[in-house]
Amino acid sequence: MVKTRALRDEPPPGPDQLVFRGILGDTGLDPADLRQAAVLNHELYGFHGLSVWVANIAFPRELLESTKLVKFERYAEFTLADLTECGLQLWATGQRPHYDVVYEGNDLESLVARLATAPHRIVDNPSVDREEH
Amino acid sequence: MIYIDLPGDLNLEDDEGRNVARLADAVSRDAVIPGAVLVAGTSRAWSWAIVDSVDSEFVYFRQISARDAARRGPLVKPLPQSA
Repeated sequence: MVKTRALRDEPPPGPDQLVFRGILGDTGLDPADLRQAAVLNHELYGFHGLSVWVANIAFPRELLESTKLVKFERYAEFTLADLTECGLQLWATGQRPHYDVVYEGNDLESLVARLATAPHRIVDNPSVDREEH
Repeated sequence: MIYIDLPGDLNLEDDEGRNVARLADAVSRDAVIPGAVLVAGTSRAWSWAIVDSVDSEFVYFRQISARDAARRGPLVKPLPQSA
């Protein structure tokens, strides 16, 4: 059964704000990883969405690197303006500063392709927690 | 090499700040019960985790440190016994 996803009622982030997503595999933003994540989100909440974190004064990059992204060796960094230019939107879902990247019309392949090819850079996380197994 | 019990995307959080994965993706479904400690994520982005709940074929879990995981039980699984 699909759950209702709560949307936060807050002003949208600005175009210059940075958007981060942890890299799951070895090859950067792998479309297969993105597709799998978006499908899971659809199974849960009924829409194709990809989880990201948006930096702001309360959640600066360094804080996100050591908390929400701490298990990721690398993460992708976008600007909101670049995502918007690619036709993508951010929904304020979950707990601050979590957002879902979505594409109008809920089209899976368009979402995946647009996020994978949106201008971004891959950043090594200096705060990654490499605790041993 | 990391042995992943519960494949998942550690970017995804629900409205309560918990990570979520499919129960069907678990290596051993029977081991995924509330309170169970396991390794969740991918080979490049994983965490010790404690299962919070299992609902409608989804597993809700929270990331914990190795120290916390060790307090709850052994971190090393025995090797399979040969016949």
